[in-house]
Formats: sequence, C-alpha cells, structure tokens
Amino acid sequence: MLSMRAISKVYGSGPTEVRALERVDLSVERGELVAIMGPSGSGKSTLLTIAGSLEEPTSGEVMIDGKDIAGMSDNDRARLRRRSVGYVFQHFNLLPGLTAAENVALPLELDGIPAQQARASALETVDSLGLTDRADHYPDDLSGGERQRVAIGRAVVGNRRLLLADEPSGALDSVNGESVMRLLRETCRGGVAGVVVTHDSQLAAWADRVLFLRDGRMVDQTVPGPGAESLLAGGYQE
Amino acid sequence: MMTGAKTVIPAGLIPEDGGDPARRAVARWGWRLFKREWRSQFLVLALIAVAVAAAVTGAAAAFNLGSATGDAELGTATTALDFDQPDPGFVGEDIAAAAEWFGSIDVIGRTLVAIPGVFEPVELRSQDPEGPYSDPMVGLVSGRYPAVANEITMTDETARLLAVDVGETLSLAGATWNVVGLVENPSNLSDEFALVSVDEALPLDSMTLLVEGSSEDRVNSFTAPSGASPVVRNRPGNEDVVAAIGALTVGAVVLFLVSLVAAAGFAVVAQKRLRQLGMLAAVGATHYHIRLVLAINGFFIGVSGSVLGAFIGLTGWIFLAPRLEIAIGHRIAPFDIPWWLIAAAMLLAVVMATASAWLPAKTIAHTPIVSALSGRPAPPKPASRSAARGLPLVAIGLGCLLVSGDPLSWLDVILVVGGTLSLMLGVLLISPITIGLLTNVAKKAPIPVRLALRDLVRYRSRSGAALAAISLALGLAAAVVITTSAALYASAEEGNLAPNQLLIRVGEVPSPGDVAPIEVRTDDEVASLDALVADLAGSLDGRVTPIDVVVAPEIDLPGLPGLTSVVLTTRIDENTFRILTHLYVASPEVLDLYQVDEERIPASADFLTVEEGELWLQPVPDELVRDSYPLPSSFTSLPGSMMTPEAMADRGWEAARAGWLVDAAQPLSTDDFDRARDIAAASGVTVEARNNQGDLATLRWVATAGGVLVALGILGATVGLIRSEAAGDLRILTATGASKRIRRRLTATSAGGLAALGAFTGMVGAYLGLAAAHTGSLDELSPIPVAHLAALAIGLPLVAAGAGWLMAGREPSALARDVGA
Repeated sequence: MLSMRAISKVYGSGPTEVRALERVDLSVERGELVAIMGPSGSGKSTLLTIAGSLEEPTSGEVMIDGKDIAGMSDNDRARLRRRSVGYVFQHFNLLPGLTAAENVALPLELDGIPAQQARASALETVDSLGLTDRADHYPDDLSGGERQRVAIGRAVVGNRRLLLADEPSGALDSVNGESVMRLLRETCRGGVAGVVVTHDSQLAAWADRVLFLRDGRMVDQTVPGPGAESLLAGGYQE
Repeated sequence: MMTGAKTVIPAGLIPEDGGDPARRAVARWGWRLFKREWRSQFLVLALIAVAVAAAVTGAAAAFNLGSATGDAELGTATTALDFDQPDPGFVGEDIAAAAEWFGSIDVIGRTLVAIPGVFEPVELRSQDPEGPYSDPMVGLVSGRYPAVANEITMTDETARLLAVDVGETLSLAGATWNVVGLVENPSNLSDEFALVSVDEALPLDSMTLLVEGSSEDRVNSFTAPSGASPVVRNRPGNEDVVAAIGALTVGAVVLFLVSLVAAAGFAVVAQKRLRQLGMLAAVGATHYHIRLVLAINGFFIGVSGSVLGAFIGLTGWIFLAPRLEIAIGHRIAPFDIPWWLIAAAMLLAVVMATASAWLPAKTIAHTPIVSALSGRPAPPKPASRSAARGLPLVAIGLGCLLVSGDPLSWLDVILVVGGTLSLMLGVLLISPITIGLLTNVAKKAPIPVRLALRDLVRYRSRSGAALAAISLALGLAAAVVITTSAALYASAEEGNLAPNQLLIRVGEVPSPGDVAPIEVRTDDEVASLDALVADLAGSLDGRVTPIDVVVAPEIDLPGLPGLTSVVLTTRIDENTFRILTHLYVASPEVLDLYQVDEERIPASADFLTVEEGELWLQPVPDELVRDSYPLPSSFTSLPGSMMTPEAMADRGWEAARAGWLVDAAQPLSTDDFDRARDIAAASGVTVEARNNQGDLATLRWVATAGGVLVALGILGATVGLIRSEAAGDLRILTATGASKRIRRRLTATSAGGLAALGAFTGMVGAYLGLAAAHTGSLDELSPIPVAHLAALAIGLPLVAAGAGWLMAGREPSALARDVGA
C-alpha cells in the first residue's frame, strides 16, 4: 500500500543545512501496523508527512496504492489525501466549528459526496467508535480520548487505505493512549495499512513491526513479542 | 470493532474539486467560524463598520454640502429673465406675454425699502410659494404664508432688523402689514427678505420671470411688450457634476480605506487560523477550498460591517445634517442623499471585504501544510518588489490629477477619482518599504524600541496594509485641513466687512447699481456724530477710523444737493460709464486698514485702488486714471479706491465726512448691532455689519475632527492587530523576565512608530495630490496650516504611543497560562 524508496529530506542550504532523512526505505502492506520510534529530531514526523504527501522529499520515490506521488499537482495530492490517506495528529486537529459527525464527514464532503450521504457514512463510523451519543457535540465538548477517536474516524472514513498517526497518544493519559492504539490496530486489521510514530515503546508493542530512526537513518527494526496486546485486556477505556 | 464506513463514489461523477458538496461543507465551516469567532474579529468588523459609516456620511455630506446657487436663485427653473426697473404700466402685459411664450412661469417682484438706521434696505419680495418653480426658494419656518393684501412674512433676520414678531403689525413702505409668519430661502439662508402676496401692488425695483426648458434661441427671441430687454441667467450647469465628483471621490476613497483596513485585519485573522487551515489541507482540501473558507468569513464580516456601518452612518448624518446647515448656508434634506451611492458603498464594502479576505487566503493556501500545521507563516515577500509596482501608480495618479483641471465634466470625474485611487494604491504599495527606514533610525535605541521597530519590519507584509490604511486616513485628514485652511484664508477678506467691523455712514440707501450719495453735514453735525461714534466704539472696546470722500466744490450738478463727490467709473461704451465706487481720501488711518506703508507709495501715484482695468474719474473732468498704486483686495464695503491728500490739494478738491469704521475688540453680536442700529436711526445715519457668511471655520472643525477621529480609530485598531500578531514575542519577553514597563514601551513604540510613518506618508501624499490638482495655482494651498499638521505629525504619534503604553499594561490572562504551560 505504501512504498517509500531511498527517501531523503534536506532543509535549508549551506551552513544552515539539516539532513532530516537519509535514504530511508519503508513499505507497509494492507492490514499491517508499523510503529516508528526514535529520539527527538530523528526524522520520524518528517517521514510521516512525506508518506502522507503533506511534504515532498528532496529525493526518493513514494508510491501510495501503486501511484507515484512525485509530479502530482497540488489538487491531485489533495484528492489523494481525501480518498486514500488518513492522518491522525498528536493534538487531534479537529475543526472546532464542526461537530464530531461533521468532522468525520468532512473528507467525504470535500470529495463531492452529498452532505446527507456523507453524514450517514460519518454516523456509521462514529457509531463504530462508540461515540453515538457524542456525534453532534463540538470538539470543545469532548474529552481528549473522544477527540482522538473522532480524529481516527475522520482518518479512515470513506474506505481510505493508508492511516498515518503522529504521536496519536502524545496528548492522552496512559489508559486513553492504550485505547487509541488498540483502535488503530483493529482498524488496520480491517485492511488498512497503518504507520504510527510514537516515543512510547509500550504502545509501539501494539504494532506488527517497529522501526528505529536515528539522525535520519533507519538503524534497526524489530517485531514485538507476543503478549504485548494482552497487557491490556478489555475494550475501550476512558 | 470500528469500521471506516464505506462510501461508494461513482467514478467520473464527482468533480475533481469536490463540486457543490465540497463548497457547501466549506461554506458551512466558514459560517460556523464567523458565528463562533466573530468576537476575535470584532476589530475588523468595527473598522469596516466605521469605514462604511464614514463613506455613507461622507457621501451624503459631499452630495449636500456643495453649492445650491441654482436652487437659491432659480428654484427648479432653468432660466431667469431679470427686468430692472420694470415699467409699471407694462408689468402685467410683460407677464402675460411671457406666460404665453414660455408656458408655465413664476414671477418674482422685488421692492427695496429703506429701514431707519440700517444701511442695507429690506427687500419686499412678491412670490407665490406654491409657484411651479418656487419650492427650493421659499420655505415656511412658522405661521403661514401671506394670502391677501397687507399680509407679510419675513426671514428671522429681517424680523429682527424690523423689531417685529409674528402676529404683530408693521409699518413699512407707507403701508401697515400684518406679520403672519416667518419664511426663509432654504437654498440660501443668507437671503434676507420679506415675502408679500403676489397680489400686492408694489412699485417694483426689479422683476424676475422663471422659466424652464426653453432653448437659448427661444429665450433670446422673446420680446416683452414693454420693449425692455431682460438680463438672462441660466442655471449653473456643473452643480450636479461637482456634487457627484465630491460624493464619488469621498465614497471611493473611503471604500478603498475599507479594503485596506479589511486586508490588514484579515491578514491577522488568517494567520491566527493558520493551523486550522493546515488541518483542512491535511484532510484533502484544495487551495480553492481554503481560500473559500476565508472569503466566506470575509463575506459575512463584510455584510455585518456594511449593514452596521450604514445604520451608524445614516444615523450620524441625520444627526449632523441640521448642524451643518448654518455653516454651509442652505437647508439640507437629510434623506435627499444619493441612495444609489449608499447602496453601492454597502455592496462594494461586502465585495472589498470578501476580496480582502481572499488575498491573504491566497498566501495562506500556498503555505506548506507542515508549516501551517505548526503555525509558522510563510516568509514575507521583499518590500522592494511592492515599491517598484507602487511608483508607476503614483506617477499615473499624479498625471490624472494634473490633466483633470477644473472638475467640469464626467471625464474629469473619472480622472479625479481614478487619479486619487491610483495615487492611494501607489502609496499603499510604497508604504512597506518606508517601514524599513525605521530600523536604520533605531539602531542604537533601547531594546524595547529596537525590538518593536524590528517587529514592524519583520511583519511588514502585513503591517504594510495597516500602515497604508493609517497613511490614507491621516492623508485624508491632512487634505481636509490643508484645503479648509486655504479656503478660510481666502475667504477671510471676502464679504462686505469683517465680523468685528461696524461701518457707520452718513449717506442714504443707494439705488440698485448705484453708490451712496453723499449728504453734506456741517462741521457741528460732524463733531456731534464724531462724539456719538466714539461713545459707540467705546462700548464695543473698538477703534474708530474716520472715512472721508473726495468732493469737488467747483462742480455743481443739477438735481443733486450739496457737494459733488468724485467717483471712479469704468467705460461701457463711448458715452456710457458705470460707477464703481466713491473716491475716498487716503488718510493714514484708512491706509492702515490695508496695512499699506505710506513710504512705499510712489510720489507719482495720485490714486490707490483695488479696481483693475481702465478707470475714469467722474463727473468732471473726464480723466483717465493713469498712475495708481494697487491695493490688495479686501472687504467690499471698505474704501477701495482712494486719492492722496496731496493730489486732492493740487486739484482744489476737499474731503467730506462719509462715515466711520469701528473695529470692535470682538465679533459683533446681534445685540451690538441692534443697539448701533437704534443709535444710528435716532441720529439720521445708517450702520452696516458683516452679512451672513458661510461659517467655514465650523465646517473645518467638523471635517477635521471627523478625519482625526477616523484616523485615530483605525490607528488604535490596527496597532492592536499588529501587536496581537507579535503576541508570541511578548510571551517570550515575559518568560525571560521583561517587566511590564518594557512591554509598555514595546507597544507604545509600535503605535507611535506606525502613526509617525503614517502621518509622514499621508501628508506627503496629500500635498502631492493637492499640488497636482492645483497646478499653476499652488498659492491656493497656502498658507500651510502648521499647527494642524503638527498636531497630525507629532500629536497623533504621541497620542498613539500614549494609548499603546496604557493598553499594554493590561495583559490577557491567556498570556500567563501560555507562559506557564
């Protein structure tokens, strides 16, 4: 689903030049959740923004669902984000003027789905998130965990196949953080390719693979041992 | 288990940009943002409302404050035929013939009646207030119009002169009149007269027939049965154009101000929403969608500001209009305003607000999404690029104003409005580069000052719009001050007398077109009057200047009693001369009135005069005035032509007392004048004071105060916006231990610096524009109103800095939280 080959990213030039990524390769298949770990400044978020077409690499190739995003127009990239890529941010990034259901429906409406049809799809998603009662609440009225679940709903609604999450539990307490990771994993199990950036190794244990970045280079990768998931039993917790 | 709901999107059926559903979704968010966050945009909304209010009030004022000469003298007619001294035997026939020739006509008869003690006669006017063209010429103030013979109404000033009230009787012109009401000429409040019924049989000094729609040929081919040749006057042709120029220019300029203010405000609003817009882009919104969000927000702000501003402006105009009537000399119908212009102003305000939101949105839309998500704005464009585009616009604007000349045609309207807008746009584009000058000025200044000025430079792509708005507002204020000061200076020596002058004459009321005959008084009588005038002057704390005319004892004209005064005339044809003025004695006291130094008068000059052209002495000898010393023009009732005592002695001519001029310490009140009139009437002399004149000083006060208030409002608001943009710096400063004093100095410097730059560019722009519009007559812009301009250039920055200092003392609680987080 996602294929990144020899991705490099350089900011600035001359004495202020910063090499954020250095020939990084990454492939993620549908149904797979990959965690990226590394210290601050290692290039984790940069890799994620490039994967989500929010930023262009200095060199390298990014393929999403078999399409090379290099050379795409701004509008083509926007359409790609509407239809194929879902993004989850650390600070939720919900639009405060829209209700939870409207936030979830936003990518669909931006893609031309009539409002009523988009709302029906959004409500279905919100319902599956366990937020039926909160569908018509504004983000300001939701808890942090609820907001992040709405953000995940917005990221996956409309049959999108690539889910990118940048520190999705960074602004949450540990219980809600675990809930979010469980949700991400279950979403991926449904056929979505997922990449999650996290500092927390315990949360990274929910992933199928864990990659390590340091100074812009991929230095290691591992597969978490069985049982990590069992550390937290039960359903969603608030 | 959570499911991403599957929505089937039929390929090819959905537009690439999401089509209407996407636009509706974005519009919904724009509307919600407006509803939720209108308070954060209150300053922008308030500024738009203020600017629209100023546009509405300004356009209404410009439309109404122009000349109403046509209405005052011709009513709604297009042509007036003036008969001087009409033959009483043919008046009826002339009127009937005119009615047959022209169709609908209005007849105005005039009879001048002397009033004891007052130099100027009262005009008895017979006119039908319900006549076809009379409506703008006659208005009822109280009581009713005269309906039958021996009923009379009059203006309040005339009633005061005649010391009569409504309901009383009056003896005038050999008849007794019942005063049944007070009237006025709504189009000329200085027009003093008494109105009688059209049926009143009065010996007429003049008669005017008002007609409409007749061609010049038809008017000229009219033959009166009396054989009289009426003087034809046509309505001034450019009054509507002048009013339209004023209204259009004011409207266009102020609406341009709206767009500048809105652009400055929306730039800050867009910056504040940068992260949300980044979010929108991250979920797949296109550049168009992002621009649409801000444009819709701008649209709603524009609609709200436009409606609010129009309401405030109309309310203000209705409040202001009656207070301006005395100043401009005619009545104002508050609702007789260019509604089309008001509607256009409101519509344009919405369009401009939307466009002003669209422009910063364009910049925001092109900000990299990652930068937007982290709240980092795009780097500003180099200011030099903007200045390079501004210079040609300034040149084009000045060129348009240069070739526009006097505003007499619609082409000139286009040139004046287009030139003004081009000039302002040029100043707008040049403004950002002037901000760079501040850093050079402040290199060695203390840290808060240096930091504040550098902030202005750093944010100059946004502060430039604010600076341009301030420049424009202060430029407008400066233009108003310059032009009204010049107009005040020019009008200072206009009119019959200065406000503090009282002219006491021994002569009688003159016939129309004539000069007052000289009544010869004995030495004892003159001595008695001297004492009377001295007492009067003493009560007014005034100075007396005796005024003598030149008389020729050797000439004894039949039919005229006493001595013959010498007059200056101008030749009309071979045998006809028109009398211009008496010849007065150039005594040192009279020369003082003109501040003429006797030493500078050449010995060869026998005469001093304000008159120009070929002048003749009359009645004898028919002598051409060959060598005269020019006097500056002054009040019309002052001695304007004089002869030196030496030249009089050479010819054997003598001086005879014609009157006295009293220069009072203060402008004369109506009580002062009434007292002088009563004394004069008892002593057989007449008095004259300044006629009603338009009060330009009041007009200037209103205009200047309005301009300065608008400038201050914009200044305060825009500085607030700019400082809010640099709120992050304040947080850092606070976190690093900056005291409240430093924060105050930072904000005060921002406000003062912007105000000073705005005043500089505004005044330069105002002088450039006015100079271009007055090419060849730059002296019309003098004198420079130093005090007022200093108030703008120095006073406003100080006020702005002071306000900034005070405002910065109060920090929002959010600041502390942010710092502590």
